[in-house]
Amino acid sequence: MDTTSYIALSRQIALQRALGVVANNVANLATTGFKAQSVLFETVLERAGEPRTVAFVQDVATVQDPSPGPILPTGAPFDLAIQGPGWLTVQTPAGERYTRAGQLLRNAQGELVTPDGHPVLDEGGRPIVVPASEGTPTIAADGTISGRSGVLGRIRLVSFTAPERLRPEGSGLLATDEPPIPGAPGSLVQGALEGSNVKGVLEITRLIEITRAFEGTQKMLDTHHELTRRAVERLGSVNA
Amino acid sequence: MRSLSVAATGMMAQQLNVEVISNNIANMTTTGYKRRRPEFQDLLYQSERRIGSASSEAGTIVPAGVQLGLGVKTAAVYRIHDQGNLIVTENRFDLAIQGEGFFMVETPEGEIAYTRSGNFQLSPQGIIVTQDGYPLSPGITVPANAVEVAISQTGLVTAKLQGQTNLVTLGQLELATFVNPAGLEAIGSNLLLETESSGPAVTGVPGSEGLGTVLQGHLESANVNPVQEITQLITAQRAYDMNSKVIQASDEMMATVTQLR
Repeated sequence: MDTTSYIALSRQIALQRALGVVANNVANLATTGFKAQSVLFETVLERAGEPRTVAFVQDVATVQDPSPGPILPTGAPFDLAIQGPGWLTVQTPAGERYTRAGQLLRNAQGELVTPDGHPVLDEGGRPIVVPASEGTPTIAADGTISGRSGVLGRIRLVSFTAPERLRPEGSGLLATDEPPIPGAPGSLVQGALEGSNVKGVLEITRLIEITRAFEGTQKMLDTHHELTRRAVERLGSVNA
Repeated sequence: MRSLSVAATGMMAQQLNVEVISNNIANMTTTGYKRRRPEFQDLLYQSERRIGSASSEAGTIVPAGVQLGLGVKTAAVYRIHDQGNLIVTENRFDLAIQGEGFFMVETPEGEIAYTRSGNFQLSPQGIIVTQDGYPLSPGITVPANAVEVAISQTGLVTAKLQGQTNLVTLGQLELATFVNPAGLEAIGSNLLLETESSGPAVTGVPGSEGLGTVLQGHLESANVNPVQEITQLITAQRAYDMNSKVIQASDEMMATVTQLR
């Protein structure tokens, strides 16, 4: 019966979720390798008696903005920025995960690891070991690591046919059921990191848009409520 | 409302960012100081609609589901161990390491601490000590009648004694390296301690494999780049502002809801 309220409600719930996405983008303004997300809305149609149709709104997907983030020089020898498409492979207890956050460190065993201690894999799927005796190694654009004694290994960069299906799992890690394709077209930059690609101005305009849309919907609800109230008053009046 | 707590994590992260930057700037002229950098990661995600779940019986699947992030967290604050500038001081016990390695210092607790800060002095007994009076390890004593003390690039400490023409060897400096110097624990006063994540110390003579050389009469300045720090401070402040805007917007939306009759 009261479809108007429910349509407005569906809009408000969707807007609240959209605000959550904006909040997450803004919170990750300084997160290495972070990709901004946006929400896709879709109409859900329901026939409410011929010939009228009503359209509810639903958020169907959050999509990642695949555009590259800025390359920020840090000077740390194991900070790697990926230029172009490509993901590093990380060995986690839950299986292989992929990341663009190339902030790596050497652990006590000399393995290259993420800040969480998960090893980064080479072309052969093994952790990369850089012993202390090799000094500070040079990492070439194609991922080849060379130390004092020569080439130590090559960091694996992978790509995907459908990168939009990568699921973010937090800690900069992405998971997918898709098999990775070795030999990504991207290249590595040593001593730099890829910053977050969140654009502050864009997020703030989105924020304004969301709050205004929310208020607008609220106004509509109020008007509808007012109408119903008046109808009840007039129709229910004995003197009418 | 999710956005409130998400923006709060953002504000906390930026606050920490400013704290790290302020510590770097405060230590801009600290001998041997290595700048720090916070590393942020995205927090958990809530799946409202899973990627790859079936959207019909015909086997079509959802290409990109609804994944809502829950904010940001600090993964690490790590030290960047690149070389600081060398400054000439002409003080004979000022030592700078060019390349990798740390001086070893014995703390009063009997532990070995590591430092890049080479502004040493002599104790009343003639022992080479740090500004806090902790002796260098292995210990080197300079006799009172030493006229000149020379420390070679490879760390050999020699002295010319009063009334003698030959140089006397007083000792040999040693340096330590680690597989993961970023894993050393800072205890203040420019000192670092070995941890499980740094790996064991590998000691050796300066200039030998993997170790830097020692320069007498020089000091290594902090590797803080003021321009970089200030630009980072600006971005951190703006990011903080934006997060507070999100909180304000969430608050306004909640206010709108409470006006519902």
